[in-house]
Amino acid sequence: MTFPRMGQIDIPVQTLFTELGHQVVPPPPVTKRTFDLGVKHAPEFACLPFKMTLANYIEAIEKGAEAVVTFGGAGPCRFGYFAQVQKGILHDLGYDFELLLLDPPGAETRELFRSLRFLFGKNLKQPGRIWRALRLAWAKAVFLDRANRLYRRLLPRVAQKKAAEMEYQKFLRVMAAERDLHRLELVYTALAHNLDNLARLETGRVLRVKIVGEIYMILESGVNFHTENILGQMGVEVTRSVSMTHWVEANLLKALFPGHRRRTELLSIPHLTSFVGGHGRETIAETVDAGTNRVDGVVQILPFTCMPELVAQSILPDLSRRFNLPVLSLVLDEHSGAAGVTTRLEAFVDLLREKREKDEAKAGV
Amino acid sequence: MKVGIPRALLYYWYGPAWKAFFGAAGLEPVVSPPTNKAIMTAGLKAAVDEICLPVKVFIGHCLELQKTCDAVLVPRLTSVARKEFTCPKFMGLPDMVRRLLPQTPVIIWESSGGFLPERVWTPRSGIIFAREFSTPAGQAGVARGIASGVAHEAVNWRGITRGCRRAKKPLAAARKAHAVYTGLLRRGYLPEEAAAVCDGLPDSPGGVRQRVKPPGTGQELPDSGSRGNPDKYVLKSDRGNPGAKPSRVIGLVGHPYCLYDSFVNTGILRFLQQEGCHILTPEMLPEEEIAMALKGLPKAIYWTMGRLALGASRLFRAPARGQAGVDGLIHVAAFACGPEALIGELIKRECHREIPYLQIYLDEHSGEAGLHTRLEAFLDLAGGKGQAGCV
Repeated sequence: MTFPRMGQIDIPVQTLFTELGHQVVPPPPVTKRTFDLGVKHAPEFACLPFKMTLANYIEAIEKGAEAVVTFGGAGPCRFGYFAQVQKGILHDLGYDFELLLLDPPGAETRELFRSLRFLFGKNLKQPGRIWRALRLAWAKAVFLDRANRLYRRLLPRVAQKKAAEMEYQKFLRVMAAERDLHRLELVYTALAHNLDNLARLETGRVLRVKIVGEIYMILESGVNFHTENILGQMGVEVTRSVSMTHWVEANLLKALFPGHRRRTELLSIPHLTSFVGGHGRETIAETVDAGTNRVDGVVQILPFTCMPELVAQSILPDLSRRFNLPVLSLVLDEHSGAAGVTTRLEAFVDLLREKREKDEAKAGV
Repeated sequence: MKVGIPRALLYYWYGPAWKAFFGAAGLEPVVSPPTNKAIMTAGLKAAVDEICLPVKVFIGHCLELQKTCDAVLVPRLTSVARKEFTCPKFMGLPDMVRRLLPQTPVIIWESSGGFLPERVWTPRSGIIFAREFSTPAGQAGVARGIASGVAHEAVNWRGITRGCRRAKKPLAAARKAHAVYTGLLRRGYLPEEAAAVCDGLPDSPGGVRQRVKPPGTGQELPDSGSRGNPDKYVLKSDRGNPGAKPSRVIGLVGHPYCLYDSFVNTGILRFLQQEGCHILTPEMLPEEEIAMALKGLPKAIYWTMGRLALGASRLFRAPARGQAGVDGLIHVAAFACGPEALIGELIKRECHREIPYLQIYLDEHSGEAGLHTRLEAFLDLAGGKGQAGCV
């Protein structure tokens, strides 16, 4: 059984399925080959997430996966129709697998039940086991997000960046292997302690940049050329509101967390009066939030031909002017190169530094 | 007061209805001229680089209308059918456009779940100014209107709908015009002809045919005066009288603004007609049959235009009840169009080795010569296959 990759989502998802008694084949990390496979077999104008998830499936099936678990949707973003088209493509390529689609109830309810039955069917007699598996996976997701936030915050304040990165990688490894719910906190505390020791307290105010945009492109660092890491290495603190747990809360557990949607609506309504699918509205809302909370700059990451983000991108110049907030839109596709992205980020950070010096000089006078 | 209606995007479906609505509301609807170089260039300059050509063209039309009109209509057609969407860009359209038109108010035609509007309103300096919100009775009316899917009042913005507070009359006019217009499209009229008929051009053989008969067409025009077929898309000419048989029947699928904006698609339709082809488009097919053709799809397609394209392509390939099929299928899409990237893939897979199939992607650099050469080559292919089938 396999699933599409999106950042660190493989750790909690793998935990969940393993605990439920399935054999999991996580897709290998994104490499040049992943790009090549995706571009070769996907339609030309499909967005990068489509191509990359398709390549994920191919690589995982080659490694022995027999079923693919993925989410669906009811539009208008293309994501909801990925699975059907990808299945056709893979079928024509001669790959044989079972598609387990988790569509939101209402669209394809029968399909949802079939998939859930497959996933949980073995354990229906032991609801305790399902509950434990879900709780462990969720706890892992929460700690991963928390650790990621901490890492992003401390990386610019650390002198030995290499050591910090190794600490973080170690944490990820331990986290993936850990099976005891109560030890997760200890693992996290160890990381926090180690990172704290590395950080220099005397660092002055560092630049803060907020990342907004399409969730897959933000979270999957193999696709966005490790943008967050690059910024951190340059001494910039990266904040973002998009994360695994946020996505689950805002989309799967909508009823339990109405605040997310409300916040997005309230912040974005003067600029974008309707929802546009995907994360278009969140992008606007979070940019407004960045503007009012004196973040130094905003980086929008979007895949080429992404419809919701294009709408947001058309409106961002206005926000930029209103809040005096520099915005960089990174449109990425398979032709983007790491060097190009790095250069643009460097130039952007230079611009932010200069702007802040100017602002501070003005405030001093 | 002049209200500008951009001749772009879904104008090709709803233009006459919009015109009738504002006409009945006591305003003067003005439709922008057909797309030309100046309009396109203005749109290209103002829009985000990566967005698709039709949206850029729409923005160009708005900028053009802004020069002469007091307000510009920008529809927000979130969805025109149940459980379906148009396109994310259409939902954000008013927000994208209104920042480019600082001087001219934007009238937003807002509909979801059907074509008729839930609200017609104007944002003013970011705040929604809606007359119906000011009184309790008005609020109740709006709630009722939204619940029943039909708006009760058109919003009053500095006298936009002066003397016509109740929008019942305009709504009825819009509904009627829309019914007439879609009826004409179904009978095989192309949008420009159908719009002309709606505008009062006599619907007689003389009226339309003289106006739009393409030069050098080898095809016999049916008696109703339409270029397509009289009542349905039944290819009567194929069976009834072989003498009048058009040499080839070409099915075109794609979004209406790609098919019918002859500047954007460098006149594909006209070219095909000059080559003596009979043209079929999704708009000429009855909605119910498209729905029938799409039964058994693993998941319903939630983009209206994509659904029509796939359904039409299926009908063209495997026509129901012994009607003649098409000799070739052309899929016309805009470069970087999101839904079409996936729908195109589905169509391509289904057409594989069945009928000649051509995919055309339009962008601002599309040149007439290159496109027409490809079409000629495609027609040779389609024609050859058809003859072989005759033997």
